[in-house]
Amino acid sequence: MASSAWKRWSMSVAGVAVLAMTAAVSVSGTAGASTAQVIHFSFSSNIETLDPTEWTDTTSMTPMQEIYDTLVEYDPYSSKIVPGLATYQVSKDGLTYTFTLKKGLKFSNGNPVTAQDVIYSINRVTRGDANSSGAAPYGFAYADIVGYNQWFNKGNPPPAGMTGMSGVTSPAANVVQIKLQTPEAFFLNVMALMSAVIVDPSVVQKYGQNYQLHAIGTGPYKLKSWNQGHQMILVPNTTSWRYRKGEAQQIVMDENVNPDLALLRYEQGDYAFLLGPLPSEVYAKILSSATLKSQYHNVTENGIVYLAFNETKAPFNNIYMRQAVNYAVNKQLLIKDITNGRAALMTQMLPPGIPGYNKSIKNPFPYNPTLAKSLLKKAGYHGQQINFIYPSNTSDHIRTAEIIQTELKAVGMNVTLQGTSQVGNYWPLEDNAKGNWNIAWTDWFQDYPDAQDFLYNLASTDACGATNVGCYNNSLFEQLVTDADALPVHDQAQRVIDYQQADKIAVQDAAWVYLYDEWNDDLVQPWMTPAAKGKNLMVYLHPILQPEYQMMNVKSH
Amino acid sequence: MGPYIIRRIFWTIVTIWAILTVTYFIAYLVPSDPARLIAGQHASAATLASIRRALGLNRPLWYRYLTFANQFIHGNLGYDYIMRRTVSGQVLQAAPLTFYLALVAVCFELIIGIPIGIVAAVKRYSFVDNLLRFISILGISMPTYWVGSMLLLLIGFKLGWLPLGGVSPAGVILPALSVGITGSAFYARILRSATLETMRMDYVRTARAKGAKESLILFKHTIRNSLIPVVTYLGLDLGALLGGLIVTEYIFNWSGLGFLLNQAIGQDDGSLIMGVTLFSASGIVIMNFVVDLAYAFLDPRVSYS
Repeated sequence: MASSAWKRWSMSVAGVAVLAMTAAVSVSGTAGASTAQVIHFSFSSNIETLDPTEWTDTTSMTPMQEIYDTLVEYDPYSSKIVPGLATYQVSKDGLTYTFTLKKGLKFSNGNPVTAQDVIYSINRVTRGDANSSGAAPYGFAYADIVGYNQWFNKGNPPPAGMTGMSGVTSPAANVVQIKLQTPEAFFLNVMALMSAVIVDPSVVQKYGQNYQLHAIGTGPYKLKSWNQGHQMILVPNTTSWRYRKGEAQQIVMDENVNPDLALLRYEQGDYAFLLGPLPSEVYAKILSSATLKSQYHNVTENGIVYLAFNETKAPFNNIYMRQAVNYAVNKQLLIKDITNGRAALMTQMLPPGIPGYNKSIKNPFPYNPTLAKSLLKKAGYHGQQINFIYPSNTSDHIRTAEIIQTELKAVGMNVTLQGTSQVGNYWPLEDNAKGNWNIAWTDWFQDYPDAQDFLYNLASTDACGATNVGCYNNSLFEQLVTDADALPVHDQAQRVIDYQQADKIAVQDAAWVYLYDEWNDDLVQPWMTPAAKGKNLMVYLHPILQPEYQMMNVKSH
Repeated sequence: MGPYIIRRIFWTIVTIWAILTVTYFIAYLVPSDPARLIAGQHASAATLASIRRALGLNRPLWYRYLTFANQFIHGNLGYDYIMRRTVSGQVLQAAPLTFYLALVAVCFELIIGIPIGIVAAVKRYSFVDNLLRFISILGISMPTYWVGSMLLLLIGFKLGWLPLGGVSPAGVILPALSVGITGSAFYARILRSATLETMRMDYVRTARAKGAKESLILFKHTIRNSLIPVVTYLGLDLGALLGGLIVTEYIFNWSGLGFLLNQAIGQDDGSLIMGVTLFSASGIVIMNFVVDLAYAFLDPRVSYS
């Protein structure tokens, strides 16, 4: 068929092909210097923000750790509070915290860090500013500082002439003093949160709503570029007090990369690590590969998965009902089926990594459907409908709900499932169909490694209808927790005793169905090795959680 | 002609308004609390209240609907408090990538589909035809996500010839090819039946009777005329691709509109879902309008009374 018509035809086909290829090449690519000194990895979601007033998520925490510093921080090897930008002193009554800034601190734009910058940063994060969405999500964490209520003004603009909280002052150059209304043993934890990082006021004021695209801090890296939703690139901040020669020349973070693709890129050697928690399908692939298995690391983290009862009304204001559900649910089965064995049996409200965890409590409600049935009888349950609400945004959640529904039906409970888009949506009882639910799937991940973040936030009457989802209520528990929260930071031993006792009471009350303590797991390339303390670059993967991965050396590869 | 254009403009506006209204109320019906999504699980009631105030969520529904419609008329799709960016900014950043991917994908569909269609028609009922028809049925039946994953695994990972997803000069080839492979089957089938039909036309018989060469008959008289339904389908296909590359863009991490929509759905981002839907739908409506007008100018047989 070597006719001229055929030639013309094939030429035009080739023309289309060439056009396609040329078009392909003309779109600009993403940056990527391919030296050994680049740490490249991905997140499966967005980096939401670099603005501390907007911060809520663990993804944003990773770049923020590199860019910013807090006055105090966690020692990556022990998760104890240590000095960061400042050394600190706590008064005997636990009410006054004095921070003295280290000498010669500079932001990455060269501006010196002053006490006024610290005061500005703390005031800003308690109420957001004109540029943010209205209020800083973590503002509440600073509510015990003297003058907070006047400054926050119930979320309305502060009274005219007011520039900040009266309890935050600078008594001397480079010194910042914070006064509390009541002692808070966990206050230093709050000062180590990503919401408490120190920002440069001149940069915040200059860029307003676009601040986060120009975020400036004192950390070991600074922002080079950020194509939001796609990729962020950090480069060493040579003015940082943390800067060390030999730091990786670039940290490249891809956003929104789906787990399958991320695993392929990791296997190809492009990604330095794969951040967890790893999805089940990725874990299954790891199990089938000896190489990947040798690069797999896991650790129990301070995160819990549990079922809350609506304790404001029948039938779960009855302890026998709560106990019955606890015995009817086979937690070991859930751990095996839903997490592939990557979780630990939860025995109490606190996870094992939190001081106050009560080691003497061991599997308080072993799977026992017969006992569950007799408890239901004792409670006088006669098949009333029970509404089980859960977030149906992942297949794991859906399967969990179905397994539990089947188990509860097996002991004679009439359970209907009600899916919702995300767990946050059913927190306030009053907001969700007027609290028309009985059991709710819930989870919690620590803000900081302190029992207050679990027992007070999740089970106190103050948090009823908010973070205390089902309004668990026991006056003795409440007394122990609030007393321990308010002890001065020096009284850690007494606090632990109080929390252990409170934890035990909540178990006796069958306050929740204790399902499991979550694990976190990662894949780490062999050429990323844990750095010796105080040496070489820092790459914080999971602050607080996995000390061995927090500071890494990059070997040539 | 004049009244026709006015009528078409009117109905285009009505259609876009209907899309806006339906999208807005569907987004409203989803049981999701934007304030809580923004504030995170740990926020206090006072924080939530102040975010609701800032977002105007405490206003009545009709007021919020009218505000949104007013913004839309001014080309503003609102501010996305979850992504902390304007919706229009995100959509306009993603749209060119989707257009570009769709264009390259269509090229692949044509490159693969047209030769198969022709050969199948010329060699009809032969072994080759049966084989090609089998392949094209296979192509239609294979889901894009499977083809896409296989391409990624074989060409991107095992052979390492092309990048593993992401937006890069060579990165468009695999996603476009996976759409091309599955989509080309339609073109092959359309072209095959159209060619077979044209081959039975009188003018083809006349050409053959005149003693014209078979290749000339095929390319000049048959295929040219058989391409008309292909071109019609091309228009529809391109429209569908612009709104429907959600899965492909997700698999290949191609950050176009589908990728954005997927991300928005994943995080319950109502304003972004609305923005992408409205943009894509309005784009298609406006394209239809332009095409209809173009017909009027190009084809004198089309009457507009």
